[in-house]
Amino acid sequence: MKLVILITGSPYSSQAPYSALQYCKAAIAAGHEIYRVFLYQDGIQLSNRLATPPQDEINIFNEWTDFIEANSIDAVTCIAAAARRGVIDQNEAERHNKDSYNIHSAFELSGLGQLVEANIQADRLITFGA
Amino acid sequence: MSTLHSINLPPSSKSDWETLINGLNDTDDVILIEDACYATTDLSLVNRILERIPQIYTLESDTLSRGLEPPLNKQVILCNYEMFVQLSCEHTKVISWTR
Repeated sequence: MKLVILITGSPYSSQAPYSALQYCKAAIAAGHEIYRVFLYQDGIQLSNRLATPPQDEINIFNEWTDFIEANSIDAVTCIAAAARRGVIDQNEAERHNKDSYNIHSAFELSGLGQLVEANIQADRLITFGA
Repeated sequence: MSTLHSINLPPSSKSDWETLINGLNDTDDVILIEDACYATTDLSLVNRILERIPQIYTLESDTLSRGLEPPLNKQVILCNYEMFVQLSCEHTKVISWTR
């Protein structure tokens, strides 16, 4: 089956990114396809490549980006949710005259239309919230 | 058509739990994840759900990591993520009760 995963809870104030990752690993192991992972609301914090957790803790950021890259998963960060929280890509940085950008290359900034399209194409939507 | 209700809200989120229970059909399933696992200690809540459906699933890792004992009631079933995935495919819809 084709599954869409929506994450709306951030690392450190919710368990959502961790739960979603365990779910996705189980889904891939069972032979399902992750059609898209969509980060929305506070969930966009997961795509910040500058997050640096202590080394003796689980690094949920690296766990996710490694998983996305290893399985060639389409991962989208909502551009409006991200920009207002200070997560931007190079294009947005130039457009808004910012001196830096911080989205991880495993994620692509795009709009809510990507969530709608994924809902149309896929069989199930599973939400992991705060 | 049947629905899997996945909930991560603690039993103190009363209005969400009420809405979930009132909307349950007898072919639906409920899976408790994250803080919803605390509901396994609320017998009246558990019994109200079991009046509508035959069993409740609770995610084993989230239940045990909160220091909760495995449920004594055989209708409250510890399950893993593999089962969570399987349930979400068996039902035609998934509703995620969350903030």
